[in-house]
Amino acid sequence: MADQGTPEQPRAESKSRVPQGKRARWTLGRALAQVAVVILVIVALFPFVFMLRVAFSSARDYLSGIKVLSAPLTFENFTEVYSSTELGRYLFNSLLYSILTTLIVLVIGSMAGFGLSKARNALVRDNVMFFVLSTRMGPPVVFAVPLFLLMTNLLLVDTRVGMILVYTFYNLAFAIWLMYGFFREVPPEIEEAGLLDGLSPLSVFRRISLPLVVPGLMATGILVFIFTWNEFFYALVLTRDVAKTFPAMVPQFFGAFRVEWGQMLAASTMGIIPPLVFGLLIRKYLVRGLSLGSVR
Amino acid sequence: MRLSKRHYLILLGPTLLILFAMLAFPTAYVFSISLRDYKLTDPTAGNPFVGLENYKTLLSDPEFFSALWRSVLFTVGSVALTFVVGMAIALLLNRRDIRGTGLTRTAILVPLILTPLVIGATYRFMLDRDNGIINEFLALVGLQRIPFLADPAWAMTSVILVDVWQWTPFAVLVLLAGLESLPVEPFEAARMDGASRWGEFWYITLPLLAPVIAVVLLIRTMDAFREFDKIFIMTGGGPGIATQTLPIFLYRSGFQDFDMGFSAATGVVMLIIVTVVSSFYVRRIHSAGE
Repeated sequence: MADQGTPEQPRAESKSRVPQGKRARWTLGRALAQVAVVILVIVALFPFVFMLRVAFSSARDYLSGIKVLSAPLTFENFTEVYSSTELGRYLFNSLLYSILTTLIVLVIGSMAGFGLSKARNALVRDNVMFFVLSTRMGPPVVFAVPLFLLMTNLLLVDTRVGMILVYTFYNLAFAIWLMYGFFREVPPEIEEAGLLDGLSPLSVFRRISLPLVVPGLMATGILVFIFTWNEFFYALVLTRDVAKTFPAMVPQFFGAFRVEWGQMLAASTMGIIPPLVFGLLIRKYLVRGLSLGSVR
Repeated sequence: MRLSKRHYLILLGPTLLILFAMLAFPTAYVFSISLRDYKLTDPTAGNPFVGLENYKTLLSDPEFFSALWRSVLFTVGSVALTFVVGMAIALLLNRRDIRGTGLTRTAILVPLILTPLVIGATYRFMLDRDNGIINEFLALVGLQRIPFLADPAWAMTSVILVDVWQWTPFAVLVLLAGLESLPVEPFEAARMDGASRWGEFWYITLPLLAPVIAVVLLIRTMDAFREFDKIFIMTGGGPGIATQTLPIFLYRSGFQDFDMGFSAATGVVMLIIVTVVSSFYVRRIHSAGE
């Protein structure tokens, strides 16, 4: 709207406002589009803002309808949830699994991605890639029963080692698929030059190719971190208490007769900080990651 | 660069080991369990081999078919809405004459990054009949309160809409990336020929975007079909079985009734469905990615 206040500005000024350089006029269509964008942002962010608002207000306020939006701020839900639950431990577990899984998956996944990107036999390569991807397409619920029984027999249910194993499997296919795409973008001439300088193929991988895909490696790592942090189903089925993660604790706030909304959303507020911070950090790569590298 | 067999073994060995241990073995195991009478509630029974008994029970269970139907309903509803709304928003954000599109692109990442379980839990509060903020707004403007999650007819709509809320940004961002990489020549030619905006969209934009659209539809279909977290925390499959999709059905039989054999049989059937659908899909994505 401020645009209308300065209708006779010189050209140089208008360039910063309208990217194409020509000054657009406020037609009805344009005004509606502008309103639509504002509504879009509100719809996209409202649940997030609402969660924060409830987390920072007292039970009396968040159960009193829309007055909650202007209620006084309080930390009581946070102190309550820390004293009455094991939130700290669950957050620690989530952090531990996310970091270790990310490291393991990056090492194994970049090796496999590099190897596959160099495979000459298209038939073999495509079949391996297809097999790798099918592990990602298979619904976790299908593997829940065998994994549960397997881990029960190996005494790995509700252990941290067991969860890291499961999460490595859960993310590996995705990481390979993405790293494969990043390695294919490395110019072959640079790698050939390394070979001519007397490096072995594995040294070329370590000293030349890998440093060149560091941005891709970071993006893949952060996505693996977020996926592991957000994973709920395996944590629900394979943990009880010791190895429980942050998402797996959320259902415990829903009692049969009473729901601790404030505490639940206070815990959630703590729990969404890592994925939110990391996700916004790699926003350039997020789409590529979520579309398995098929959109650049 | 040419790699030797030994190099491939070193590079791919760990991957093959993990995928075999965690994929091939459980898949074989799930088949084997599905042929047994395996109830965790009765550890003394010894899990006898019962052949296709679990499959017979499954295929004569109306609840299974209702779960299958609800899965299809959820998947089709969510994917179709995500695509249509996502396309509209992508076209909107692709306009050059509006402000704040950069900020909007960042804002709509939030639904994609938030823990899905937290999204579900937050919406469960927002959609609550008595205390939910959405009903408070409805009441404020004098409308009737709606039992979004307590009424069987509304519950399915609600879980679909929440899924749409979470995933529409994905469709928007992928389609936007596609729109931005379209060549300008066909559009200039169409304008010279006096094509309408709608004609331009229908005959040029859509066909050129087809590979990108395929990616959106495929990935969304696979993810919607296996959606568990949000439905689990919002309705748990209820009220009754109103939102009980296949993943919830499988979870209930395996981890609430502890009937592992039956649950495994459900898993096998689900795996067959996914394999049939995805073998077509994954190849499409693969060829689109080349």
